[in-house]
Amino acid sequence: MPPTQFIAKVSGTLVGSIVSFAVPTTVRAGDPLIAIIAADPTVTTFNQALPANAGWELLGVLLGATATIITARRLAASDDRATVTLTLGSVPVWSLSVLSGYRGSESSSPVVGAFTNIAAATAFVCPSQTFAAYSGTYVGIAVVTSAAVAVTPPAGTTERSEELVATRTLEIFDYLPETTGATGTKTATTAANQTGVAASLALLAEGLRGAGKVITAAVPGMLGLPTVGV
Amino acid sequence: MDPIVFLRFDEDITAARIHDAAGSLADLDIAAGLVMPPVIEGITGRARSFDAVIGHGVQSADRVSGTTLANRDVTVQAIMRWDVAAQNTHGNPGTLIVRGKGNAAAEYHDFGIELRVVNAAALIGEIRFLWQDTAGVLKTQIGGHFQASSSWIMVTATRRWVSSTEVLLRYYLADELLAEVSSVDGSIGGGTTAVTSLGSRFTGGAYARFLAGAVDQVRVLDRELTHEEIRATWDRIATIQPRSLALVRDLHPPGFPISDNPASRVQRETMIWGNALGYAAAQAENVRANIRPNRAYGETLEQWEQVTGQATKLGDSIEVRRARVVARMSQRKGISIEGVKQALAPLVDTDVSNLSLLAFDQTVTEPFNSLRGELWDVEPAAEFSINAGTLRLQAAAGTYNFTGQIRTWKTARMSIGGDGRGVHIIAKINPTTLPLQSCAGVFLGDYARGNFVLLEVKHTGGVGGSKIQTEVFRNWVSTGAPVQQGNCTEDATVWLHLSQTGLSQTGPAFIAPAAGIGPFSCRFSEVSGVAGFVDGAFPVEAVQATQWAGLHFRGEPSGSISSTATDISFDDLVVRAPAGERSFHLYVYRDPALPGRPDLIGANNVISGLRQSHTHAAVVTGLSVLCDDETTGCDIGPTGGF
Repeated sequence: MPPTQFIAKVSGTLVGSIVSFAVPTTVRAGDPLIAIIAADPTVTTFNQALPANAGWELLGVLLGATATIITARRLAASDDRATVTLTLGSVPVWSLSVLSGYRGSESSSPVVGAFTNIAAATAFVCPSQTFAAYSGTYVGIAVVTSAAVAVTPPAGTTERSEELVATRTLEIFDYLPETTGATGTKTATTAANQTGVAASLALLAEGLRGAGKVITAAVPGMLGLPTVGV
Repeated sequence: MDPIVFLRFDEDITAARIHDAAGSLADLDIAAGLVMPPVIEGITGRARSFDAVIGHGVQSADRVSGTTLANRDVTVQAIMRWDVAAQNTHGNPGTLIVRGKGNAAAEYHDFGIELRVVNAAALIGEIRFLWQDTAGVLKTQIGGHFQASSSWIMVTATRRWVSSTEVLLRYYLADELLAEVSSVDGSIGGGTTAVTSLGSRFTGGAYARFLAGAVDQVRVLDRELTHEEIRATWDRIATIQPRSLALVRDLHPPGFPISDNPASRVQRETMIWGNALGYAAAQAENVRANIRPNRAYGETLEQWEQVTGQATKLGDSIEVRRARVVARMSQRKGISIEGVKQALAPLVDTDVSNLSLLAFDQTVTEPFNSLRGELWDVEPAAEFSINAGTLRLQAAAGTYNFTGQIRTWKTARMSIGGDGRGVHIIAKINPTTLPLQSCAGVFLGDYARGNFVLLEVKHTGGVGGSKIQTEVFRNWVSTGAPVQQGNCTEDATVWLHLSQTGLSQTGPAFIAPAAGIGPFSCRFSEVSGVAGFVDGAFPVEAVQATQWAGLHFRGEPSGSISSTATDISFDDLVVRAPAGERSFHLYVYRDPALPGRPDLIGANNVISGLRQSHTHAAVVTGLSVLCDDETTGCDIGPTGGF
């Protein structure tokens, strides 16, 4: 149901290699849930075939120099427990994770991701994404190797999450391009030079509706909208 | 429920003011900055054209102030035509309709609909709600994107107010749901004297945000239209009525000379018959498609609710109302565990596997993690406490007696109810400080009749230091306190087991036991709770001691006890009352931590209809059921007590 609509987000909890998310109560059955997990570079895999990862679909693994970003998707189900978990391929040294609901996003198509390694800069330039159809959502991700500096999302975007752990920050923002073609890069800004990874995702919207839904026949004397209640 | 605004634009000249067929708005007219939209031919008759460049628009106030105020649920539906290119040229979204001028509290927008160009080249448009909160802050909502065209279309926008932080918006094009949006902007302003505008919105001191297109009909309702209603209207307008008109026309033999003049008799007859046939066919199709409770709305749904005994609470969404009726009707398998869960699962918004039926038995095994008020009656409360999984009594020196009518003893008791047949109480008595001539133990009692049976350890001093004794009171008079076990280790831990077992062969149970058989039995152990028990010997007493089972401390026989403070712990408590008068209760438990939106009211309505007579059933979200709780109906305790 275009446009893609952000519903809610929740931070993940890591125990060993298992990331747990408490499903937000505003999520409904059928809503696509996107998990964005940033971890140290020793984490390189996420096996969706594991029984422990039933229900999850791996969208991509971005292997940055200072962080790995794993994205996965699951559809909220009515019989989901209050908490859903995801098992990484190894125990991370550190990890930050966020689960976000994006109602109206495509639930089965691939999600394109891209990243750039950032070396000692205040500008975290998240790569451009190209949308072939309207109403998709650009999601920008910045993983900063510091938990002591503020991270500002780009103008015109909406910050959805800023997670902190020890010496890392995970910044997530999004916006609706309402156009096709390339969105251009989106730059998040840190207060001081930092290293890290800047990434982006293109969440596609479900197909546009309404084509051909017009009244074609002029019917003289036709009764239009109901005049009384039912 | 009738629309609160209904504009048909049937006026035959442009200068004529636009009449509200619902009678709520005064005739709409221009104001400063507005130009009367001209009359054109529409799809259902006459329509009005709106040119954003010229600045077409009309406005008016309510005939009776407040008639059109809709700051909760609202639906706006229109048959219109939208010129995307012209709207894009205008550079602003076009306002279909908005209530209020937005420049004062009395004029805050309680609802408004505008169309925005998302991409002119691709003809992508957006229909969206807007309103102001009670502070006047404009809240423009996320809308529904759609593929626009220059043809006549039917658009519908519905708003359901759930709470001050949740509003559900739905947008439709024809019969197709474009988007369902959840908004947090539940604070909605609006005043009774606000002006309703069509085709433009008053903003920044002037009318602006003009609509580029045409409007044939527009109506506003103060409720949320269902998808089924919208689909029924669309089917009638777009399909059934046109087909019916064509059918009537085709009844004429091919080539038969008939006038094309719409005012001619033959054409008027064709229109009348065609539209009548189409309307009737559409209504029949509406009934066929939406008579079932999972699709019903309006009066039909109300009738289903009456048939199934469902009460409608103001504010219940139509989905909730339907789900309740469907759950009640689809219930199968009686009150079997599976049948009950299947009936309730859709209402409580979870899978069948996430529901569990709670079973209560007649045995209470008390862990003493807390002193549950729904189970225990303690006196005096200040001297009892929970300590490391035990019930601890700490009393200052004083006189604590139980001599029948004179009772200053200290008790922690629970009601057992029923006739007490087969009741057992087992407890561990761990005295840290048990003063001389004082006792601690277990008891069964009937306060109404004054019948009590006590099994207790007494600190006697001397050899051994303690003894185990029983004492029976009939009508408050002691029948003696025979020693069951002398020379027990002073202040040692003991386990006491008292039970009422007497059953007679004739007459009422246990009141008149058979000769030689006592109604009570006792056992005690200084070893553990499962070993080393020694049977005691009760006198043959025809005593009925029901109602209460508990733990006690007292001085015995009477008079003061020593000035030593008391410190006793009770533990390992088990009470079983198999004959407690607890009727069958059916409790379905849904974990409140599960996601989703359970309709507990509807679920309890359904389960109330499933339960057997003279029993109680409830859907609960806690594992403890409180007695005397009107929501659970648990008027008596799990062991049958009060």
